[in-house]
Amino acid sequence: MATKGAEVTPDMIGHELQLNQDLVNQLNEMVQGEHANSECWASSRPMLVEGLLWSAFGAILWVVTIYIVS
Amino acid sequence: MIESNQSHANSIEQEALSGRLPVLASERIYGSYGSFMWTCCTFSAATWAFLIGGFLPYVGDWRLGVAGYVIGLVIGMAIVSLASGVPSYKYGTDVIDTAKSCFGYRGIVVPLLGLLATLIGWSYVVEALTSRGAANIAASLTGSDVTGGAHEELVIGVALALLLIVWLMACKGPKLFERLNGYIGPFHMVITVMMFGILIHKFGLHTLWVNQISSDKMLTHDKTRGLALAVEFGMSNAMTWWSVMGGLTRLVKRRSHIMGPSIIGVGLMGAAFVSSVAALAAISAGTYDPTVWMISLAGPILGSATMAVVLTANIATMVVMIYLAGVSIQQVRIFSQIRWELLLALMLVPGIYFAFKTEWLLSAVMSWLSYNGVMFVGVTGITFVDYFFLRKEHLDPAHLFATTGSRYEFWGGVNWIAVAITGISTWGYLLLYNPVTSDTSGPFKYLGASLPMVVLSGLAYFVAVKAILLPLRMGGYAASERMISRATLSQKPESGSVTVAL
Repeated sequence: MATKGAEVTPDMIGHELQLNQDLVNQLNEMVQGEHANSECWASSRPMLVEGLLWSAFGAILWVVTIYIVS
Repeated sequence: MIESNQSHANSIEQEALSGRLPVLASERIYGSYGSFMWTCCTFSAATWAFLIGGFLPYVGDWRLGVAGYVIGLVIGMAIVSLASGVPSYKYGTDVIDTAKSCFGYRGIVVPLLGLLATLIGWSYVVEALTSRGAANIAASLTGSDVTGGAHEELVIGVALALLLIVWLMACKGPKLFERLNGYIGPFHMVITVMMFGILIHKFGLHTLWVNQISSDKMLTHDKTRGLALAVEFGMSNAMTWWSVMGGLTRLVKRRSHIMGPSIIGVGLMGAAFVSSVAALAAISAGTYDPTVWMISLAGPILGSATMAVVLTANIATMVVMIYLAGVSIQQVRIFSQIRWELLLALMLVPGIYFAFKTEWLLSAVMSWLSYNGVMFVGVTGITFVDYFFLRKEHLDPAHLFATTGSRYEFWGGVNWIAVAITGISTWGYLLLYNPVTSDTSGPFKYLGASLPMVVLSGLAYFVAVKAILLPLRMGGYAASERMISRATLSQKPESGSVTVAL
């Protein structure tokens, strides 16, 4: 779990400080732990390509419809 | 000790899901293509889809209306999912946090206000649509007049009950609605197919295909302009999803589950299919409102049962909207310090007042919400170009939460360039198209209004960053600044670290 490095306990500190410590742990875990090796951290290129293909599909549909009605 | 660590780990996961803590890959809840698609579909297929569908025949030909609406949704959702959804997917952060990279940590108040207006505003509209729908059902069953005060107590009762149920469900967090939407979404689609079947059975396919609204009610008789109007309906609808997609994609595990489910779930199934049925009903049955025509066509028992399901599905929509608004509103410091349950209750409290004012809400707020998509054309163009073309998909997540010395500080926490472009794009949009009067000008007939303004605002931001921000070394755009910092609570951070706080 992302918070294994936390050395503070809820009894010792206030809720706000605890949340901020959790934020530190999550952010540091994100860039060096399991998350950094996951698909989430990998290139977004496949999503960009898929988005462009969907847009191209919509654009073709638009042009064809304009051609049909005009 | 192990139990204590596990309990703390669970509380972190809960805080991440109901707060602004980044959600890491192992904590995400959407693990399959279908689970995310059905959430998107359920969210999109609320009663408002019927309302929008009722307007499609007014573009001059319902077939053009549906075709244009689909085109607008497909292109619009593709752009919005990339601009809002992809950065939040990578970093697990809320869309408002990722938008700090281009608006600055104080400048994000601009998209934040748009997001809250969208999510909370539409929540109350759905509340009113659901409660008035229930009154319509009661009036249809009893043969009484729905416009009188006979069912007002029912309207208020349903609205108040709805608020309570939404609060209880939203308190449970996104895991609950992930499971529920897996049932509600498919069921809603089955119901819509059945409604479509009833229309075919009553009117026949040929009649449905050729029937149009009367000529004097049409917004235009120019087919190309009519198509552009319908495309714009779809695209401006998609623009409002900027405020939603990032909040949802931070809960998705796999990148192959982002684009397809968003476009198919939100655009094709939830919006386009439901709206098409409403468009056909508006012409042949005389009203888009299924609480009226379903009961008259399918009979009191089947019609009421069907409508009860459709109206119940609105609960899921409201839950997702209130959840997303609850996460984003924690950007305001005071809201991040109160309990999740109380925060949700505070957002729902105005709904109690609106429960007594549903007719006013639907007449006054609906026209204001026509401008909803306009707020996001500039924001979408800027965030898309910023993430993919200027930052090459690299943000520094710790700097999104920095207390001092943030890379995304710009001028006192505000990137005035992004704010100005957002304002100008709104003005430009309204020059091309007024969503209330349907007045159009310039290239609207072939391009609509959202698409050119998204492209122009993205282009303007790209040029402004290259010409102004890069020479001033602001915003962390230089390639040498493209590094990842460590987060710390220390007020004197070491080199390569930055002090962070929520």
